[in-house]
Amino acid sequence: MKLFWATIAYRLKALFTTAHGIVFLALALLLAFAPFIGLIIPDAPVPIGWIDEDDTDFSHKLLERVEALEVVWVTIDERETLIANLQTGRLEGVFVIKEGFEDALKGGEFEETLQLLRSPYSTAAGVISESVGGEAIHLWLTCSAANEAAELDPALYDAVFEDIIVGTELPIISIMRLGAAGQTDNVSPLRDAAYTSLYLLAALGCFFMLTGLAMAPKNNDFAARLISRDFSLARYRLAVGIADAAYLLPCAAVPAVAFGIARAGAPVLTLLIMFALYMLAYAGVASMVSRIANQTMRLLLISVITIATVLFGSLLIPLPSGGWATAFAYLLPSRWLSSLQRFGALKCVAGLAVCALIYNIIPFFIKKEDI
Amino acid sequence: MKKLFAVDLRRLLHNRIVILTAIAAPLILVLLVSLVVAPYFFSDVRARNFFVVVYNEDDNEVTKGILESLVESESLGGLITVEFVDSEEDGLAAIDNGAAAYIHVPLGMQDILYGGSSTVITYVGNPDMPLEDRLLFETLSSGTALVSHAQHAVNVLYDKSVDAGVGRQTASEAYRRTALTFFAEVMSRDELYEETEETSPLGGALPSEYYAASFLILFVALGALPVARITAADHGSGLIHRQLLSGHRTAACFVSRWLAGGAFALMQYIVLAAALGIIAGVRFSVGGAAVLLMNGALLCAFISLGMMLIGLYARTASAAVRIAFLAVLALALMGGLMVPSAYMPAFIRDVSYYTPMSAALRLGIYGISGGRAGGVGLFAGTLAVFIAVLLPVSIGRFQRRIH
Repeated sequence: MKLFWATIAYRLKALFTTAHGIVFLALALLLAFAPFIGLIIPDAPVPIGWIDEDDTDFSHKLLERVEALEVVWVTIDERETLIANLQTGRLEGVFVIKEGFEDALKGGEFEETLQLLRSPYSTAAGVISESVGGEAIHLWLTCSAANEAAELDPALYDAVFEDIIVGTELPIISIMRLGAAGQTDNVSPLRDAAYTSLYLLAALGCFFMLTGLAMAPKNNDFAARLISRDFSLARYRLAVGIADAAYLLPCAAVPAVAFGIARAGAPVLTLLIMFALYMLAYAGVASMVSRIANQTMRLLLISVITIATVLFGSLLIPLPSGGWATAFAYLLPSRWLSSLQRFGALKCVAGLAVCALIYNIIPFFIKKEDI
Repeated sequence: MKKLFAVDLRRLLHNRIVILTAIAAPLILVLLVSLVVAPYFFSDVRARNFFVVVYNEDDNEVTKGILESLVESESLGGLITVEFVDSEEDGLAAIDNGAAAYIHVPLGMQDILYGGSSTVITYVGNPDMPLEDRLLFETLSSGTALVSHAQHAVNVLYDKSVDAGVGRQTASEAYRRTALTFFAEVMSRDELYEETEETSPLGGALPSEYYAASFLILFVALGALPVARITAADHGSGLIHRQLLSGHRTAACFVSRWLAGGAFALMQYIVLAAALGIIAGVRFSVGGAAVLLMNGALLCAFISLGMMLIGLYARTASAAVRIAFLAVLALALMGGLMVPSAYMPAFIRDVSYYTPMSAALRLGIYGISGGRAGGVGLFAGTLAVFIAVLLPVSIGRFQRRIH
């Protein structure tokens, strides 16, 4: 047992005192902090182009309202220039206010009064079409209500129009999202950034753990000397895995503290335990992968495991519920890490502990190998 | 040179199992991803609808009209089925039984609104269905602001009419008639646009070409990690010196490794591009295929060069692959492979536009979309400039390292 702890200490010393180890830790910390940079820098409006074929009072009003939106940045230029910028991805979309826009709205119609030109590079079409479309509908609602009022009393048109177009300070109808337990489910930018930070670290941690053991040279002198003292290779790998997990663990304090400030996720200590168990589980996987003789194949397999961890661990895109693939995903420690909201901390810690236990026990039962 | 290239390629493609792993493993992953997530992102037809339960306490024709319009709207029609329940307990129990969400419309909502007050609709998402929950809530909340404005419009219409001396009965009739029309029209606001067939029913979903191209580039970049390992490992093996002693020039040794790495990555690129193209519903065109192939050649040349440079600077194979992984992660983030650059802060977006991964992403999108975009010269040029910059740096480092 003394030799086991000595191996951990030796590995930790090697990681914390070498230039490679220090630089990697600094980069990992930078990665953990990266999502929070977005909280400091204000959101950028999405660039859109504007072609006004109608050129009327209403189309000018629409432009005025769209320019006041925070989510879009309007560029007005020649059609050819705008299309060229759209085709190279500099603009996310070009809105064409079609001729007859004002007449249609005054007549109570809005169908096909706008055209959104997009290119295959556009990735924000949903957001911009909803934002600009919302303003057009706002104008239509105002005009239609004023028309209705004018039918009752023609003198009412202007007063109703002016009053409606200003809008209300607070929404009259709002939608409140509640968690399953009934409490208000606040989604704060800090909480989102904390989750992104945790998931980025999880992807990095998975790759780090897998490469830590699997990329070590097969004729590792230190391991050979340990074996001469009746210290099995599986025990050596477990010790290295524990040291590697402890080395990267301080980085997890960044998202854990952010969760604490946002009053979300789980307590700092619980999150650190979860991350440590997550890393340990991959230490077991690394121990198994390191038995593959061919280094290229080993590395390809590490890449595949990392990609699977990210995609099926629900770290990049939320997975839909149900189905065999989703159930199968719980074999991955990352799926337990991303299920914190769903299962709560206790279940996730238990799931990760089982993963860590199983993946670290298996190498002890695989046929012994010599260095 | 040919001999060296063959040797270097053989070192990467060690045996049949390695070749199979290099091709089959990412292919299987892509297919699994497409099976699990693709129905939601890769087409307009969803494989499996989900159901939502509504507890409507407001027995008012306007509220019923809103709900009917919502269920039949283009945004949600065909995506959800709605079941009505009689109590909050039934609604929450339905979540346990697989409903994606429970929505509660409060008692007397229309009366409250008619009286000029505000109201809140409650939404409870199913924590077991995070994807469905997110898609549904985004769609509902984006329409709520307009519904709220529609309510404001009819409130003003009523108040101003009454103030102007119109009879309450007449004003009330105008209120109800207008409210019903407004709410129905707000739900069908997609008709505002001409040619909306390409607009996804779910505002948050990205074009399938984006997902296909970003997966392709990310997988190929990670698949090229062995190039960094082999380059770093060469330092201790003495192989380069043996090749130099056999009469080969330093540049030949370098170029053969670079090309072999590029060929190794290109092999993965071609297989994955074909698979992802089929999944994303590629619009085949000769121009698009040619650009896709050119993108493959440039991207693989760039990645191979980048991996070699990292391998040349790293002291051990382990350090090389870790740094290479971090570099791929950083380039992917900067290039908008994980979060589209449209959502980045302005300065980062401008930088992102000229990063290699962003150029490769756009060329990939161009190819998969069948050449319906532009900027091929600009993006190919960006990749070529990066290769041109990295090449002399890498050769210089290679020469210093072997001496």
